[in-house]
Amino acid sequence: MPSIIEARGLRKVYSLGLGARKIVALEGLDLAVERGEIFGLVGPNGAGKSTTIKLLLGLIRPTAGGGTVDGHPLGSVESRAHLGYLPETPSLYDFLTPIEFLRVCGRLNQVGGAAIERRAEELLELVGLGHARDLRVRRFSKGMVQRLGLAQALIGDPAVVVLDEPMSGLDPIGRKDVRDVMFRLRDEGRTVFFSTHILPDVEAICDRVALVSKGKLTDIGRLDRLLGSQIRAVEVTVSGLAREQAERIARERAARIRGEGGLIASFPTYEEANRFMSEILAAGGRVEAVAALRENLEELFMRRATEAREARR
Amino acid sequence: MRTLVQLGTLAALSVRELVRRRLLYVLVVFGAGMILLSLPLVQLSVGQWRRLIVDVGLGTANVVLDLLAAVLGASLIAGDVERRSIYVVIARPIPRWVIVLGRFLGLAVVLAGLLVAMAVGVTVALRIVRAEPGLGLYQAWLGLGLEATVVVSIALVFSSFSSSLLSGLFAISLAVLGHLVSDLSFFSNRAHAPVSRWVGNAVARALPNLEQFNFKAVASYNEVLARSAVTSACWAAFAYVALFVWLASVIFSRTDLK
Repeated sequence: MPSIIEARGLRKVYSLGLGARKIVALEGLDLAVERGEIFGLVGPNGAGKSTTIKLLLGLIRPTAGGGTVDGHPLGSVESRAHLGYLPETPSLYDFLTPIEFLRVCGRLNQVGGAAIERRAEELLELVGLGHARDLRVRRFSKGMVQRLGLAQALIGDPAVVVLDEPMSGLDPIGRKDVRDVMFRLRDEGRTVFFSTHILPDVEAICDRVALVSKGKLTDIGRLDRLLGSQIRAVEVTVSGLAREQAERIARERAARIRGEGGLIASFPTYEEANRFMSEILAAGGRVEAVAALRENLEELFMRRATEAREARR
Repeated sequence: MRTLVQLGTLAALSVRELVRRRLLYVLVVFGAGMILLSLPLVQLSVGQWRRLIVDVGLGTANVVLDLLAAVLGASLIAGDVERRSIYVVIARPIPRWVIVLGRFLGLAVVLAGLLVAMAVGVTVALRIVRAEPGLGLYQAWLGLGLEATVVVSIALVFSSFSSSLLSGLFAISLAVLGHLVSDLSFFSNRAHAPVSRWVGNAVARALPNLEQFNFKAVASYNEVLARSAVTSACWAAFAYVALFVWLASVIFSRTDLK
């Protein structure tokens, strides 16, 4: 089955002033998002995340390259029929009540008359705004606006939900609620494509991620595979050593003392860890645990950012 | 059918949005105040009661409608872009020309409502002084409506690529210049330098001639305009609106919403 979102060589150059100054916001992005997955687009501010999303939605036109959403060209009306979109810090028509706003969105999404009412009520309950259905949006808190923004993205029953920084401005409960909605959407068979720079969210939610930095895609794939190949250290926990022995080894190996006669030491390779364990066993100690510490997303993210900085120099 | 539902939804949304604008009420109060003010002034004009009320009423309505058409029209698309509320509309399966046309229709409905209210106010004022409105007055109201509609479509063109402030200024400038087309043409033809003549005439031809919708003098003298003149003004307004809304749609369709 073909990917639900495909982008090939997407490039976007913004012209500033009278066109004299050009800024490359996105450079040759290739992307394929599969049906029914939660896909995270990760990168620092200004990396090109919002530009990518706007290109997918047709809000801006690519300088080069193209792609499809569910087989329809990017930016076409047909492609948007399959998309629901939550903008970053959404600005909604605040003179309407949420139910009125969802009715407007439903009609624009060509949802039938009776279905709009049912869907709007369902969505307000889903995002926890059932109690505020008759309040004007202008009286909403930032979190409530974000929730209503999520509801409007879902009114058209889209196959793909595109969320630009959906957790921004939400408290921990709100973030958990949004995460739960995202899982539920995936369970319903929808694809969730979202951008964020909140890395714990990515690790908790995403099936696959793409890292963008300075407008370029640096990594793409399943999180466990992206991080799996990078072993940061091998951590060995030992015990049963004499106190003096443990203190001497701790000094020599820059290890941490753990309890009476115990140590935790880290090694860059398995070979060094093996040699250490042999020494401990020979000295009458015990090996309690060996753990391979893998690079987490934050470290990968920082490494790519550093590489991008160094490449620029 | 689906496009019609989208158009209707956007027009209705625009109406709800526009009737909340403070400017609308400020200018409505100004218009009502001017019409009311014309009543005591009637005592100062010997035998010219009707003319005074018609002149003040139509003149005020002209300024109010054109100002609202330019300022509110300029804020429709550009305001949505500036507030970023456009994203929740434009990311849906809806062509951009539908957004432009829907917004245009919404403002046209608001201005039509305002025009009817002012026409009723002037008619009531005329009845108070026992004067007949006459068919010419209704023709003049129609002319004002046509002119305001054209100004809305001009404002939309600027609004599709510029800020709401600049769009409003450009639209007001064009609305003023649109009344000076014949003067511009007259003075251009009197210029000595051929280049000045050519440039002046080119500008005069490029500008929308809003003076062709001005039937105020006819109404003032309680005369009636020939049906052909009214029909021709209606067609001209339709052509201008179609051209400007099309132009706004084309520009907006090519605009990047960063």
